[in-house]
Amino acid sequence: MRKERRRSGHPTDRLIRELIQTGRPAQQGEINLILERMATAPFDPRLVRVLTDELGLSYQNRIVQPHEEALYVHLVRRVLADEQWAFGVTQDQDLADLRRSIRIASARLALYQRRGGYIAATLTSTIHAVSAINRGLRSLPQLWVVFSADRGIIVTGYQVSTPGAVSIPKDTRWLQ
Amino acid sequence: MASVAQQIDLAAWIDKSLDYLMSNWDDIPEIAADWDNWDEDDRLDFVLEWPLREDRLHQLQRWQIDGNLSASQLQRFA
Repeated sequence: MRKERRRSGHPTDRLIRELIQTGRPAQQGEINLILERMATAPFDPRLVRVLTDELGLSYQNRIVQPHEEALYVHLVRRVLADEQWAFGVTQDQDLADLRRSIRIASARLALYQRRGGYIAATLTSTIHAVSAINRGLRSLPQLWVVFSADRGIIVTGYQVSTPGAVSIPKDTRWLQ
Repeated sequence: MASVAQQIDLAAWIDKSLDYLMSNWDDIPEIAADWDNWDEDDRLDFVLEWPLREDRLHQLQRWQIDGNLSASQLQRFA
């Protein structure tokens, strides 16, 4: 039996959930609130499990342990495995890039549900959000940032080759 | 026209992408066996990052169509 989720009580997180549940149109002011909430939310603060093949990788003078800070694991994946961000980019720089991408005027905003969780996500042109010096050798054209409206946190962010590569449900709502 | 250096660079990245996908594929049985022990947030986060693998696979497919895979890379990809 699936455990009932604890849901964030933040008014904007509740707004996101309500928009997904009801399907009602969002006003521009509400869209602005959601983007601001996403851009100022913390990254996942948990210690997360690390996949077997990531154990022992080393980055920023630190070796990946079985349970690690989510932002550090995120950075290791994006720099070492995906090479989307440049070697040397720090956790602060990584998070700043994700936040900058959310604030870009041309960012597209999607709302959807995944495994019962309420999600808001933005899709932006990578070159508008990530400086040339921070972009890795395998940087891709689109930047996707995922926010959990249940937990009130940024869950992940990564670059994809095409907008269609983000793999979202058919009933995803694009608010802008 | 791609320079020799670019071709070598792409070949290395194709090798790394094949390693990455095969390693992820090899992890699946272990993840599946342990899935019931994962909390729901971990499961959701894993699902939310899954498109990275699919996108890497699609990139490999495009390189294959463009004739960028060597014979040994094609063998691994098949």
